Amino acid sequence: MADERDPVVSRRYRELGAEEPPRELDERILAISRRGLERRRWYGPAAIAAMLVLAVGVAVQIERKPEDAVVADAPQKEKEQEQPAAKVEAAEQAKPAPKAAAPHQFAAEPPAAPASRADEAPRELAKRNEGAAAASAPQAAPSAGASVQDRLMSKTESPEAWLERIAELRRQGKHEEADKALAEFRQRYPGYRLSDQVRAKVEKK
Amino acid sequence: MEAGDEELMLAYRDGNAGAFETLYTRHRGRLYRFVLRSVKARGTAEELFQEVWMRVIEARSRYTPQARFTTWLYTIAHNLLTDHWRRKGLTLVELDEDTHAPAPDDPARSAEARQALSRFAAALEALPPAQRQAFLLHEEGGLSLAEIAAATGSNEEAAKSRLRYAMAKLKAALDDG
Repeated sequence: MADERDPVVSRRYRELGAEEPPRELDERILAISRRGLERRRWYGPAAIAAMLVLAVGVAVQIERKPEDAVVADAPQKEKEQEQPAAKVEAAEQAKPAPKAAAPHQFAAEPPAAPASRADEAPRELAKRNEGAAAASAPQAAPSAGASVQDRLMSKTESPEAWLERIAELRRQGKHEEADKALAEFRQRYPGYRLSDQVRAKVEKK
Repeated sequence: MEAGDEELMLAYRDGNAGAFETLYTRHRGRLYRFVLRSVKARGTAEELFQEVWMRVIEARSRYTPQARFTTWLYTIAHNLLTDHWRRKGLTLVELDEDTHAPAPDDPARSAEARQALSRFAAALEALPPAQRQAFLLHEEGGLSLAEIAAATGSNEEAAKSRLRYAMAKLKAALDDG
C-alpha cells in the first residue's frame, strides 16, 4: 500500500517542470482585478445618486399632481383666501415698520426648492393680477408674495424647520403670522407631537 | 509577518488592489500547473486559469473566510475543469520537452532521465481523472485529504483512496525504470 506522501513521487513530479502562466496573462488578470475595484468605486456613488434623483423626481411628481388637479378652481379659492389677508395687511398699515417688513424677510430667506419656485412663478403672477383690485398694488404684491412663500415653505421645509420659523416669528413679536403658520402646521402634520420645549416656543403665551 | 491568504482576500474585497496582486503572485504558478496538467491544450489551460481568477474577482464581495483560501481557489478550479471535461472529454496536457528538468551532461543518462520522466508523465496522464485530480490537488494545491474531499465534493475516505491509488500507480511507473 502506497503512502499518500511519497517524497520520491513528489520529487519526480517536480522534475516534470515548473511551468508558469505567460506574462501577458498575468497582466491581463491583474488589470481585470483592478478594473473590478474601480468599477465598484463609482458604482456605489452612482447608484446612490441615481436613487436620489429618482426619489426627488417621484417626490416632485407627487407634489405637483394634487396641485394640478385643483388648478381649475384655484384662482377663485386663492382670491377668497387672500382677501382677508389683504384686509389684515391694510389694517396693519397703521403700524408700518415691523409688519410691512415681514413679507420681505420671508422673501429674503433662502429658497428651499428653487425648481418648485420657478414652477410657481407664472401662477403667482396671475394671482397678483387678480388680487390687484382688492388692494393697492405696492402692498398687495408683497402680501401675495408672502402667501406663496408660506405655501412653498410649508410644502418643502421639514416640520422642524417649520417650527423653528414659527418660533422666530414669536421672537419677533409677529404673533398673528405665527398663529397662522402654526395652524397650517397642525393642519399639515395633525399627528406631530410637540415637546414642551418646542410648544413653549411656538404657541402663544 | 506575511499576511495570510484569507486576510489578503478580505483586503482585496475591501478595495486593496495590492492585496490581490500578492495573492495572485503567491498562487499563480501552482494553480497554473494544476490546470495545465489537467487539460491537454495549453491555450485551454490558459483560458481556464484566467476563468478561475475571474471567478475569484467576481466573488470578492461575497467572500467570507469559511475555509482556507487555497481550498476555495482549487474548488473553483476543479469545478471549472469538471465542466470542461463534460464538454470536451478527459485528457492530460502533453509536456513540452523544454519544460523538463535540465538534462545531465552524460547523453546516456540524459536519455534515461528523459525516458523516466516520460514514463512518469504518461503514468500521470493515464490516471483516472478523479485520481489525477486528487494527486494534483495534493501536490500543487498542498491540500489535505479533508480539503481534497471538500474541493471535489466527495468524502475524506474517497479522497484518501484516490490519492493512495494515484501514488501507487505513479510509484510503479518509477520502479519500472
